[in-house]
Amino acid sequence: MTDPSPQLLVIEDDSQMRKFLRASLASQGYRVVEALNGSEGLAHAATYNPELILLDLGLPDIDGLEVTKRLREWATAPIIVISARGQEDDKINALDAGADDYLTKPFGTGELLARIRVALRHAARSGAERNAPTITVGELSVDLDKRIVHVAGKEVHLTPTEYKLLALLLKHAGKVLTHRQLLKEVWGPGYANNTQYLRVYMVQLRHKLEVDAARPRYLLTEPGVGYRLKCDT
Amino acid sequence: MLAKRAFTRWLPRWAGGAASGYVAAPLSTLLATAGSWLAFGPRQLADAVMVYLLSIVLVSLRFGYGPSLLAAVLSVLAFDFFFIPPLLTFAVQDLSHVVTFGVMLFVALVISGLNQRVLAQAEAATRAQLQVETEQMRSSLLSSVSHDLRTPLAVVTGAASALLQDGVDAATRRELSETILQEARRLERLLRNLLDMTRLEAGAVVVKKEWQPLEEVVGSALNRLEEALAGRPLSIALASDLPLVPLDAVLIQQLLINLLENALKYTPAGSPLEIRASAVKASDGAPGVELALADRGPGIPAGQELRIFDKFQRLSGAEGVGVGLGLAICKAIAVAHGGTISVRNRAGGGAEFRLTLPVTGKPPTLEVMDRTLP
Repeated sequence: MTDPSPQLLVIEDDSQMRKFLRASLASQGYRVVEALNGSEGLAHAATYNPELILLDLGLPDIDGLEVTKRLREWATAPIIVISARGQEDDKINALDAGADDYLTKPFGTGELLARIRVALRHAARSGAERNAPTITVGELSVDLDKRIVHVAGKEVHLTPTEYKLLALLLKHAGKVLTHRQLLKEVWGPGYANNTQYLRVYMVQLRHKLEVDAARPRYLLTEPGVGYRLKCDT
Repeated sequence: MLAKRAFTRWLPRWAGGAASGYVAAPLSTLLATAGSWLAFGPRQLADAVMVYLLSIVLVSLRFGYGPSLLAAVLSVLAFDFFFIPPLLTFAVQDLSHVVTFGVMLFVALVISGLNQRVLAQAEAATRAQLQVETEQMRSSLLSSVSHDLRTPLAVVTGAASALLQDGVDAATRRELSETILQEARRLERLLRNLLDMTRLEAGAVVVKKEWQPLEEVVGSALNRLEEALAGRPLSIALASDLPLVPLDAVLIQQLLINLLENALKYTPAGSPLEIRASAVKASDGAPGVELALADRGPGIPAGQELRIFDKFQRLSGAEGVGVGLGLAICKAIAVAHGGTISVRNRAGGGAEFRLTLPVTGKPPTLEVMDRTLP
């Protein structure tokens, strides 16, 4: 991150929510631009070219999913959607339409800032960094050239599919990936709905990589949505 | 009417079902015949008629219209056969006895008809009473909920206004902020439970079952409660032969969270928790899984094992912890999956909640499996 104060666009119709976001983000040194509805949000995104967009899915004028799609026609800035609980389908649709992550109301400042940091870091990663030969998260390290996985210094043997799955999650460490996104990338477009494959392989991966597979520290499940490789932010 | 209902209840319940009435009708006629014959002989016809009518009334009370008609016809035939000369034949010498038969049949019909009407009225009254009780429960829900909503709101309002006062030192400021956060979270839990219960009861929840490992949903529930579970010894024993289970991950996660939150609320801080899961067979041999959460808390008071899964039931000594919906939601989710949930006290103290889920249908097969890299 070269710019010390990244500019964020907040698209949110509730004034108290905007106040809370403004206060939390400003205190962390972010510059904040606000939009009260979808059309203003789209206009501001074009005008200010923000480095990250926080988008409420329940806007008065345009559906949040539609805003995500229109933004993704040209904008590459990460989008974090904010949704109410119980709207799992909305979240999945927004993520599949190109949103980078989501927050479920109510959320705390800690969660909000962690998501923003992860999204900004992914966006800012240069080509060289993106092709770095090793990725390390906690005690987990993967050599992408040699396809070797270590946990706490000990080498772990994975099947080709397990490896592909882990590598994909690692490349997006900290971000949620939907079932569909993971299945398409690892198994191919024909398997986009075979979630049982994904689940069985996630269990295998956990048994190989986690100390206690029933209390995972890295490979987290987002019920009804997908998976997230947890990293310290 | 109440006396009548008490009376019906007093009558022995031999067996349920319509068929039993048609067995009872000839039996009672037989009993009436034998009783009258032994008590009065073939001389006191009026007394015998009364005994027959009594047996018809009893059959009508217990088994309804059809069996009582059968009893009436059989009674007339038996009366003719055993009491009307010439005895032990169906022939009738005195034509006035035919009138007796007619009257007997008519009285039996009237009594049966009346009984049916009374029973129907009694049923209607019971339904009306149930409606009144539902109405009462609804208003008790309202008062209970509004009380439980108002208390945290009052704390939040008070703490926030205190924060706005001049001269609040840093330590107090922090304490007040923590109070606000805590109470807001309590409010959130409460609203979440109320909404979940309403949606589950209204049948507005679509159970999206997908075959998945139990381990995953246990993991996601524990992850959500990571903070609250800190400082609690937790042992997890999931059998290695657990099958994939068709379940809705979002709902079952909620069920487990509610069970865990309940355990955290009612057991002493720092006391251990255990989670176990194994494959089981139901009494009819159907495959399933059982997941148990055991604690070392005070256990469940005798006689409360079923009631704690009812709505708005809270164990005494834990006032102000919730509206008593958490476990009711667990039960509703378990039932929506075709499963069961129960609780029992453990040897050595503490309670053990058990969730069973059926594993019906054909699990998906994985056609493409790969081998570990060398």
